[in-house]
Amino acid sequence: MRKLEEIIREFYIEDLHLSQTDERYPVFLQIAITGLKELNYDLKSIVTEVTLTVNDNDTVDLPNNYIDYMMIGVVSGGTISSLGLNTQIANKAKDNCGNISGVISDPTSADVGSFSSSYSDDGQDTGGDFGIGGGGNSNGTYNIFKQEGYIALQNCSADKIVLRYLSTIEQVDGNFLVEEFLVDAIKSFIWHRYIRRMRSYGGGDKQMAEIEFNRKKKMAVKRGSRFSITEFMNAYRSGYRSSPNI
Amino acid sequence: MLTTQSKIAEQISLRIRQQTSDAAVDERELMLSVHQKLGIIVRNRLYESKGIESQEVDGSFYYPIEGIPVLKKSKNKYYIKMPSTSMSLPFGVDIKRVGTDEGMGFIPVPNGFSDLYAGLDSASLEGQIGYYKSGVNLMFSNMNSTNNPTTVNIEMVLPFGALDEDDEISIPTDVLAEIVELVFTDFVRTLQIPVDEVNNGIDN
Repeated sequence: MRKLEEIIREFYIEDLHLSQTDERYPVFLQIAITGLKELNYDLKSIVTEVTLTVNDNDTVDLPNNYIDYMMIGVVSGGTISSLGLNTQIANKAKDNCGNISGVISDPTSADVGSFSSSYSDDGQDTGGDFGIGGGGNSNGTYNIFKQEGYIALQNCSADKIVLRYLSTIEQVDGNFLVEEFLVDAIKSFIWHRYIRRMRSYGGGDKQMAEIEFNRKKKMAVKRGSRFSITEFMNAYRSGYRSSPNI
Repeated sequence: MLTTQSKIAEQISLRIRQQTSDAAVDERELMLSVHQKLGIIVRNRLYESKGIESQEVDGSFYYPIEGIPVLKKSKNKYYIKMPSTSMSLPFGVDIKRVGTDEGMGFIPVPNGFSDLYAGLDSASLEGQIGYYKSGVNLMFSNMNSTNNPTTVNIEMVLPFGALDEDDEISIPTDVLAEIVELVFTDFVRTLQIPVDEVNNGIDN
């Protein structure tokens, strides 16, 4: 990982050929941070993984730096098993203090997912939950309420879940840290954004700067998502397993 | 070439006397003119250097001034008194370095930085201290009671206010010739104007 301020200084040396920083430094820094965020949205390889505790009301609080999720699952036998998405899970009600309390439900209305024809007269589960639809998941299901800041779970017995998600860029000890393969793309982004509205640069220069940034971005995305020969062979073999000779 | 301000003024003064023997020019006036003309030459050379994609000021024009006390204006507002007037060069390159003896120098930021960048991620300057010119002061941003030094050093272009007339200064030879020529031409032109001429029909 590289520090963003190092990249700015490299930009001064390599692109501007200067031997000292000047008053444009904060401008370049601001552009670089925007560029880092921009690239972060497209690079699925840069994800954060956290283990979160399930609350008593079957919800999990989203991290503050959450943008979008890659996977939600539970750890089972040392591996992560995904939960299933169920967009029919209802939003929870909040009490006067703003805390999530229970499910907003109207017992008189037909609530999807709670058609109760699955219990016999003596209270035994007959196994038929009609109306839920296909694609159920034995580990449980979830629905994300980003505005409210939580994940609602259903039929999930685990007390912890694993969230693999795209996060906002955060500073470590006051510094933004940058993946090595993003360095060139950020330098190109700084130049592209810096000259974008300048009258002293022609349309050709601006276009070239944009093209260069897009090229560098593509390269960074490729570098971030490439996989090794071993990984390829594993994927290939698992798909073409020969049947045993009898 | 190592010289002093008084030596340059003396050289120009000698040339002026050779031209007009009755001329009386104060050397302090010549030195002031030398300052001004040097500033013009440095600025012009900076713009000329843009033609070769350099945008640099010759390193020999920068002079370090050490041990300037850091003062406190109000809570988390620290500043120093500028030790000398500086030139107005683009992007603040007239000041090459502000900082302490150790570590990296502070970051130059534009005046108005603290308001425009307030609340943005870039406002912290990645944990570095920024500085900007404000009148006769040099203000610091991101400086607080935990990271403020007692004194700072500053390296700036031609700080004549902090240099004595007999302090050694290094002026490139070609610039020295140019400065002598410029000041000389300027003064000779002025001295050649007859000052006691009265338009009364009688020859002087």
